[in-house]
Amino acid sequence: MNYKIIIFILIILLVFIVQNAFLDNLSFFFFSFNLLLITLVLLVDLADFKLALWFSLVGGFLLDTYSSLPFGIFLLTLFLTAIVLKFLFFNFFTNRSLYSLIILGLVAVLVYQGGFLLLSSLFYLLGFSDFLAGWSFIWLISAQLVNMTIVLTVSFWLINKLSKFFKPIFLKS
Amino acid sequence: MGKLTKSIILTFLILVLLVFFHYLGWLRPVENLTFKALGPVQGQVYNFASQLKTLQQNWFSKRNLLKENSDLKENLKLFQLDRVEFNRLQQENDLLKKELGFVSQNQVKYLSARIITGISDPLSQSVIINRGRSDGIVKGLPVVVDKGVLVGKISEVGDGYSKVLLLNDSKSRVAAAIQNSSQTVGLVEGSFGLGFTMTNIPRDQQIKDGDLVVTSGLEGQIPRNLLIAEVDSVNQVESEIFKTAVLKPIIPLNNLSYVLVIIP
Repeated sequence: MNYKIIIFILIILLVFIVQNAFLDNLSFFFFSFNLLLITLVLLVDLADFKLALWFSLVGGFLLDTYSSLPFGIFLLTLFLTAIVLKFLFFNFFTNRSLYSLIILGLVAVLVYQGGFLLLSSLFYLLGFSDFLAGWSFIWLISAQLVNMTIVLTVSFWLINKLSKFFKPIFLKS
Repeated sequence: MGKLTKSIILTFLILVLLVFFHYLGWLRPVENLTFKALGPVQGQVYNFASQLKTLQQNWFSKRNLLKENSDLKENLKLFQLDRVEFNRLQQENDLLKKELGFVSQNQVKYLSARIITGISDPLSQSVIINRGRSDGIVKGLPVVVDKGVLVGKISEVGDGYSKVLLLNDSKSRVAAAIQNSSQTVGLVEGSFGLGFTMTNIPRDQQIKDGDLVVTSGLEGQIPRNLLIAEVDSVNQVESEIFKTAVLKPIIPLNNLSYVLVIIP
């Protein structure tokens, strides 16, 4: 059991470092990739929900530690996103098809960025922060919707090749 | 109560505790440890990303290099002439200072720092450096490269790390002056990573493209005459009492590896 926890923590750190030190330092298209969110969607879809909750907690903590915004924004948004994803996965998009995975991914982007926008604006209005998202935020969300779709499609294909987690029921004629 | 609900409530409680502990300062050792443990790896990954970016930029700019090279050669000739004049004036200045018994009050100390990584906020233009409170860094200190080109200010200080708000961040504000005949003062503001502008410039001031913008010295911890940018274009709206200058950075701010912090 212990080695599983260590592997889990190493995966979170790896995802965070690649996101924070590598992708965020490249051009707009690359830094709009949100690896933490992509991993969260895959965890909700494939793994135990408890794991997804822990992931949102550790990932959110790291994002908040490395952020210049008031502490707690990323913790709350990732947690909220995990819960919304679980609710949708449990009640509506239950079949683990490519389409349901993509819809979950797109909803994740909207909930995560919507939550971020709401909380950061709230902190701005209350005078705790100087950050107020401008129009370029819409470009970021649009780019994230596009690359979330691309990454999830590739992941779906890869995971299908390697395991039987997903059932490609809509892909067969 | 189901297992799932219990897990959600437990996670939420831990989340609330984390936020409380952070604001009480109890999480500081954990945060410092995180920076210390991840810093070296992040530094390597960040450098690798910077090199990739430079490679990509060089690839795209290759076609302009030949033209730029010939222009630079022309400029070099002019600068060499200026250099001769500069050296003559410097010698004259040193001599006059000596005669007056002038003691320089403008001595500053530089502390070199390595950029560990960027900031996790989307659209924020900040970096994290490997120097902190223990190195004598405090909030508001200027951060430069090449001992004279301002790139940002310290926005947050930890024990062994600091966050630097770059000039092109939308939250960045620096008191500045244009090196023209009237030393026009204004405020250099960042604009969402796209560049920066100088605002609050009175309408009657004469500014032209290519004028250099430096720090005005009106901010306590930032010395005068640190180079910020050069004027790229000037926007003037008839109905407004101030005009705005769009500035061109001296060096690209998105590809820094090492910086210097000026300590008073």
